[in-house]
Amino acid sequence: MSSSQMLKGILEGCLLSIIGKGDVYGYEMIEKLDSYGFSMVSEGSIYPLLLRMKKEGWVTTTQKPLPSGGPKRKYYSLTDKGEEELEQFKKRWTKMSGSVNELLREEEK
Amino acid sequence: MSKLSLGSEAFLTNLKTYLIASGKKEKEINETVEELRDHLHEAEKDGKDVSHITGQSPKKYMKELSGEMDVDVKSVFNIGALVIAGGLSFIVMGDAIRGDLSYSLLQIIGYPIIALAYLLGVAVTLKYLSARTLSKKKEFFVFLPVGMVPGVLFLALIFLNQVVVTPTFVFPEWARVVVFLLAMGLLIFMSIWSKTWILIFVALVLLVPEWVLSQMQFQEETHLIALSVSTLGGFALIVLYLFFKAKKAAPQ
Repeated sequence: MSSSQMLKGILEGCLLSIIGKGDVYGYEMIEKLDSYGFSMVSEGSIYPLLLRMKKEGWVTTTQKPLPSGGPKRKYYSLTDKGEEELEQFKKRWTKMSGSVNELLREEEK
Repeated sequence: MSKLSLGSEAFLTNLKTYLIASGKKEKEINETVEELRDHLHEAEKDGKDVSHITGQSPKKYMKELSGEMDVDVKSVFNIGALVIAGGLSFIVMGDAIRGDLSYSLLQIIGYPIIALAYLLGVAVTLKYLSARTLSKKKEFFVFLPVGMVPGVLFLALIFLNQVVVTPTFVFPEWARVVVFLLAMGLLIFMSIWSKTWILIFVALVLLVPEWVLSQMQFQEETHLIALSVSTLGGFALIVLYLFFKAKKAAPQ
């Protein structure tokens, strides 16, 4: 697994979590990621992930008209399968980050 | 809604071309392009530009998106079949006018292969060009050799056909009109389907001089020269027509 693949996996988990908090559209996800300090992610990189997540059946999309009129906007929401995947990710992440933290703490001694 | 910057518009157009040339599903392409358009609107309001979306390389980004989308096998197959059928109709119509409806096995295999090679060449070139920002002039010089490929392959086939002897199928005389009308019908169908008259123009340019000349009793040499001149002139007219149409569609 290359480092970019690992980052993708993590980003996927974060997107699941953001979408799980309520229907969001692409740019909103970027703003939320930004607010948590995800500055290493180029904005476009969420869309290939979202395409894959939709194909996996973790998210569904709906088109809603903009309040200002004009073209419709694509909103994402989590499916049951997506909820499951999010839980799996949380477990994986807790385990992994715990191990990494443990390891680094050993090193500091 | 405010307008997008030229850079963003160009990126969206290129992305669309890239995905179409990759044979992806039209609905998925349009959805993704519209989603990115929406994103770019918001991003530009915040003072960002298209490089925030694509990261380091637009080409890499297009490839990444494309990799997550399904190939539309049915449409790709349909387009392939139509290009073969369209190419064959031109050949058959010309031959029907000349009254020479006979084809060797080599030709029957060769023509479809040339048509497919051309289609593949165009798709690869479109993908190549859409992932790069080249001037119109450079784009033209990239396309030129691709446009010449079928011509060169045709010549090669004609040459090969004289060297290698394969079984030949000859249409009976009465089939001339039938074959001609079938091919004509196919071209008209394709024109309606693709909503463009270009095929009809090409057919006229290729066939009318052929027919007119076949009515006159020229020597073979004069006939060939007159034919090449009128065909080349006709194609020049078509290129001019396309050029002005493209200019009208994209005022920049």
